[in-house]
Amino acid sequence: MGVNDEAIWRKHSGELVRFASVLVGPGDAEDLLSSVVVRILSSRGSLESLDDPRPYLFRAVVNEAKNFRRRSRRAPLMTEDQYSVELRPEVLHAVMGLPPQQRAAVYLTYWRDLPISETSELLGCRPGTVKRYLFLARNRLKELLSDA
Amino acid sequence: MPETDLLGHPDLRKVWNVIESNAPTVEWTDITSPVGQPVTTRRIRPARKAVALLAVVALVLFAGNETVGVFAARRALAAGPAVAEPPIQLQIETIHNSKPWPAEALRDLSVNDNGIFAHTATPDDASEQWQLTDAGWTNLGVDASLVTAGETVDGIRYVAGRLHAGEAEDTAVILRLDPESEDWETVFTVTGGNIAALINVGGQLVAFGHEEDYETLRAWKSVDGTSWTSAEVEQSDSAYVGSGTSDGKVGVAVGYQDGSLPLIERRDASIWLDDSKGSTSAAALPDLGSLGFGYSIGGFRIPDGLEDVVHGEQGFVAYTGYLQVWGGFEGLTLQPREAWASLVLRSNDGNQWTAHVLTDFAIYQMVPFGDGLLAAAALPPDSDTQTIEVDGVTTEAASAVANKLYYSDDGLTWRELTNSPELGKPLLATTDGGDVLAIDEYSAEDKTMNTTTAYVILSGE
Repeated sequence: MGVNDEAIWRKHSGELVRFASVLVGPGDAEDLLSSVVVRILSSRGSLESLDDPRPYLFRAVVNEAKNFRRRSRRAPLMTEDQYSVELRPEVLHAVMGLPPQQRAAVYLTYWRDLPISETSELLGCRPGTVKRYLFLARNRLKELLSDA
Repeated sequence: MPETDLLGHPDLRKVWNVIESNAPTVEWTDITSPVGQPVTTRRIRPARKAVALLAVVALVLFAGNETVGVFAARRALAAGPAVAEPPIQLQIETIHNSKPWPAEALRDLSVNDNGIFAHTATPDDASEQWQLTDAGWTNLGVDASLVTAGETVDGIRYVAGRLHAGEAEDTAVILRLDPESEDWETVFTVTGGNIAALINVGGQLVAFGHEEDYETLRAWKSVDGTSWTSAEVEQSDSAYVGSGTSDGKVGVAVGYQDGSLPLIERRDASIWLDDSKGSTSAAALPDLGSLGFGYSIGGFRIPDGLEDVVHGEQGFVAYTGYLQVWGGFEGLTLQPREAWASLVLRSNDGNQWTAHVLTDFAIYQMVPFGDGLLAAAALPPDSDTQTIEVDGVTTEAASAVANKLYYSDDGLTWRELTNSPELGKPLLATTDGGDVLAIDEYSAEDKTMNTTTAYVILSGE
């Protein structure tokens, strides 16, 4: 581990844990990040050699989330006591029912307000793939949100 | 993004806000230096079972129709489950054993008349090509014309070589591997769009994808793999993952892949190939709600949707990603479970399909093998966590998923292949002769061992 790794983690941990919460739910986000740290430390050792570690860290979270989903007997992504009555449960359920890549693409593009190019960089896929994720997510949510 | 876009809807913004509000705070002390301190610990929550139990109730009550099936009682299966038969040993020849590239870099495998080729991801996500020769793996270097590693649509073989599709920058491309020069050339581009699938229908080629608007499914056809023209295609939201028949007459199976229950359609190939407006019929799918999982109450969903459709001697065999299953009684107690299972759909003609559940393992790749099929599947770990050592410091990490190979004559009964080399996560490719080439990248959790084994599973007697 390099001397600057702590600073790198401190700089990015806030947005990473929020992103991890989107992918696996707030209850498992910390576990997911812990797994990411173990994997990076054991395989790479340090982040110092990267010019820009942010995309690398985001992609590491996405990749770990794919594995995490398959090997973890998870808690529910969200429980009722975690959201207010103003939130429509069916919308929350529909969002959490999206495949993680689609959910992440919508979150980064529409909530974090990132351009498609940056979303694609963070997800480790091409811009066209992000557009396809958004297209599919839009179709999945169309009926539900049109009724609102 | 325009404010009027549906994905900027206020209800969605509330969801993101709630998730972020509930995100935990991670302090550096939770992720401490390995110098004399634990790296990290993965907590095991005693209350997890109880919380998951609540999830069962919530999911059964609130599940949307598009993602979840609910079954209220165990019923006799109309189609019957796919079952695991006694293990089998097949003839295997190990070709090479080495450590040619960094751990977990392997992305793609292809085999053709000129040899065996692997594609790996570089640290900056470019793609490197390797060829296996008598001297071992030879690095052919970064191929600038090849799309990003891991983003290619699986390649297909055709009479004059091999095609791959994918996206480079903001352009979707079809790449052709010249069988003579071994060079990749870009033969077709779609600016701003994507290419979701390539299929070979009796020697003619069809590509499916979207143009820049992403609103309309497009199809393109080719007879030589080099020249591509637009083809007729019906408006559809489907992502095509299908397989064509070898004679090009019977039809094409296509699938829907968006995380919901799979939709299988049968389409006459002529609808694309000769613009004859051939027939299209929605295939008859069994009521998936009637499938049993050995539990008496619960629900299921298929997060990854349909993975692929394979066509071989047994007709069409389609398979989904893993199933999530909730429910079941143990004694008088309702237990939440997450099953490791796949849904296999089988059809002789692409029209009438039967569904079968493969319990206890989740297929992630299936390829033709002689007259049968080979599948690589994941099995659940024995426990949630395992102890590993990093730089002399002991810590807990998530347990590794086990992988195994299975053989099937018909896509329904599967037999574990017990004599394969150590399994990491093997990639499979069928050779012209019907054998299967496998490359297995095995990496121990503690990284003390990292090997890549190439072997051929022979289909003959």
